[in-house]
Amino acid sequence: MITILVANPKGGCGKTTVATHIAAAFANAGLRTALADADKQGSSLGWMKQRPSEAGPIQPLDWRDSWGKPPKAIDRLIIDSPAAMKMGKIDDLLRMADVVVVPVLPSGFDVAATGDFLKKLETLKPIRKSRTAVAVVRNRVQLGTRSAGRLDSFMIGVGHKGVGRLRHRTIYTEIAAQGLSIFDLSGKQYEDLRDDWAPLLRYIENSDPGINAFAGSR
Amino acid sequence: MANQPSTATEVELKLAADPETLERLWQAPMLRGRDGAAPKVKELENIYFDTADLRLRKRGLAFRIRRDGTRFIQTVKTGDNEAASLFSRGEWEGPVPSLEPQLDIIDDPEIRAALGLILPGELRPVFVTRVHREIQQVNGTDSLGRLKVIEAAFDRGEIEASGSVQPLSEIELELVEGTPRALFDLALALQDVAPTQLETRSKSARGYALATGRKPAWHPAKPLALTAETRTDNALAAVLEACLLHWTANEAAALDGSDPEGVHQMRVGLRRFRSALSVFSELLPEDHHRWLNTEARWALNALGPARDWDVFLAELLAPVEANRPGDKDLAVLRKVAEKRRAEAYQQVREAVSEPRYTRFLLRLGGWLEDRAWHCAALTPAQAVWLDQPLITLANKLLTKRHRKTLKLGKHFDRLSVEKRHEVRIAMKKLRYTTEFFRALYPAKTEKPYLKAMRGLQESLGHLNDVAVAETLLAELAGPRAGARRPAGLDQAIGKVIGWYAHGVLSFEPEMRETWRAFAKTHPFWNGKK
Repeated sequence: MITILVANPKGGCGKTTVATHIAAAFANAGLRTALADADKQGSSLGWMKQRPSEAGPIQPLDWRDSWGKPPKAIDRLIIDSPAAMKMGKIDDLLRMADVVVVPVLPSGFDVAATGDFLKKLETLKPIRKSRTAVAVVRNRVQLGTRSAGRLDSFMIGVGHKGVGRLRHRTIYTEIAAQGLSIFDLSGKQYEDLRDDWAPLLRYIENSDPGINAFAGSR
Repeated sequence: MANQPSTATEVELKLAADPETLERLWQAPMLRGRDGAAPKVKELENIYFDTADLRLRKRGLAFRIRRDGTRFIQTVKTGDNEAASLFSRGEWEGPVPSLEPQLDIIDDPEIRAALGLILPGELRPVFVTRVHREIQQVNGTDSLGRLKVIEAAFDRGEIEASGSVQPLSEIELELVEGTPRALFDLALALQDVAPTQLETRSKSARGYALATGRKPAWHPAKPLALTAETRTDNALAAVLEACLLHWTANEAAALDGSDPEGVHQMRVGLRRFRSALSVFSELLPEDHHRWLNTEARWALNALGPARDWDVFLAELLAPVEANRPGDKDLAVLRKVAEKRRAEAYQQVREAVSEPRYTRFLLRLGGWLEDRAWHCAALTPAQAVWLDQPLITLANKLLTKRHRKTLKLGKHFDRLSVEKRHEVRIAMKKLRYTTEFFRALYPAKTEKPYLKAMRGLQESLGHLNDVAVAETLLAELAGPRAGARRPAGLDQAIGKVIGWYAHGVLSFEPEMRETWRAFAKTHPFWNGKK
């Protein structure tokens, strides 16, 4: 099993979009997937409630009040972490996670808050000891704009190359209300958008603790 | 067979030999079925797929599509890893319409989970095997009269990856019906016709090696899941099998020799095997124990010089060199030592290709599969012990070895170097024993003991450094070296021995201190103080 924690203390950075999309990508690939919502707002839970039965099944976990044990026979567990999360609280969730996905927006304000968050993350034990990987993903990027360029230089500044970028498209908001993701849409025109997610998904796959168990030589 | 998707566990053995040997074995009488059925002949092409970052390989999977005449069969093998298992692998297969990988048809959730997420178009061919396969079915009974059906596939062909081609010539013995023991018996019988070697690498492992150009990797030992309640009989089987897997998994790296860790790990596996034998010695029929111990010791000794010269060069000579930069005598010594190391590695390759080694593996494999120690020679007392929970044996043995170490180390400060060597060896045995049994006790209570033990072992290790240096260097200066010894060699030998002899002196206070610390540490298996 791979446990993925989607976290950023700043609200509105697309945490739920990222969490639900990762979950849908795994579910549609035939992997047994659970999405735990630890955010008081419960947007991920709401999204799963709307999710049509013919779409790839995702097991909902309500972790808004407290988090439990991950269910058995699950291949991928995604945790939508609370916004404005206290570092003490994230510690517990981090211990569970194999990879932390941090979505960031190109706006200047977001970049500063995220920088602080990443710095704090680096001080936590599982990350310091490289047991947990950190993937920063640029969200709602409008290619060629000034803020997109600023985000690029920020990423270099904090020592993260970033794992892909997700372009800004209204389709994301349009389908969210139906409990869908672009991985559930069959149209060829979305292939391009799905490709945006490939670096992040590959990064997650390579964070599989099982991979290291098989890697053999150290 | 492959008309329906299915998951199965394959039990097979592979024997490698050159094409001429294969030819001779094809005629072997034990491969002729009683009904004299004609052999099947197949031309097989296997295309192996993976992602660009080789995630499937990293997960121990092999994904291939086989072209068999006009049919295409997609197969996913799990546990396709040197360290996973020698003789059995999980396998899923189903028909596909073309050479295009079809993930959707894989209906086994465990296999899907093992594959993980694969993005559209991400799978691409990595290497191809082309094989001319002749299959002979062997029906009959095994050595204990049980029914057996074995498919013996003789494969000749090649592996091709990124422009390079490697010949392929091996026999695959696959169990269709019967007990795994039958496979080993047949393989042993074939050894009498013509010697072969047990091939521990799968075709896919060889293909990946060719495709990536990577040297064979070494493998650490896999942790064992023993508990206090584990039946001693099961523990015995699990421990010995784990050791066998550990050393055979490192065979390729040892033969390659570019990383000293290969021979080292192979030796660790063999040494653990021997110490496991000594742990369980009283529970096994005497002649079984003697046979296993003799063969393991032989293999271990064959690898000894390679390890010794590796250690000498990297850990004993290097520190002296670092303190005497530009020393010409030491440069002469290094050159001579490197030549010796090369010879020692040649000895490793010879030993592994000796029929004796293959026979040892095959007999041991069959013996383990069958738990053949349960035989007429097993005494009732041994049978009772084997039925006990492991903790009973663990307590008894740990106490025995602990006491023995304490007894040998009595008046440690006044002991001669020889006597201290005896302490070191007793200590080593004690450490292996604790390693086998440590999972049975709460980790917290073990900590101080293990720490004291490690400390003492490390300081006693200095004694061994000198001993090894002296033995190896004496050999360099010995009669084999002849009269034409290069100038400066004797001087260099003197420098190195002197260096370590003096080193031991300066470690004397530390050695005494670590002994005292160990001697007063409470044994963890006796519960609370």
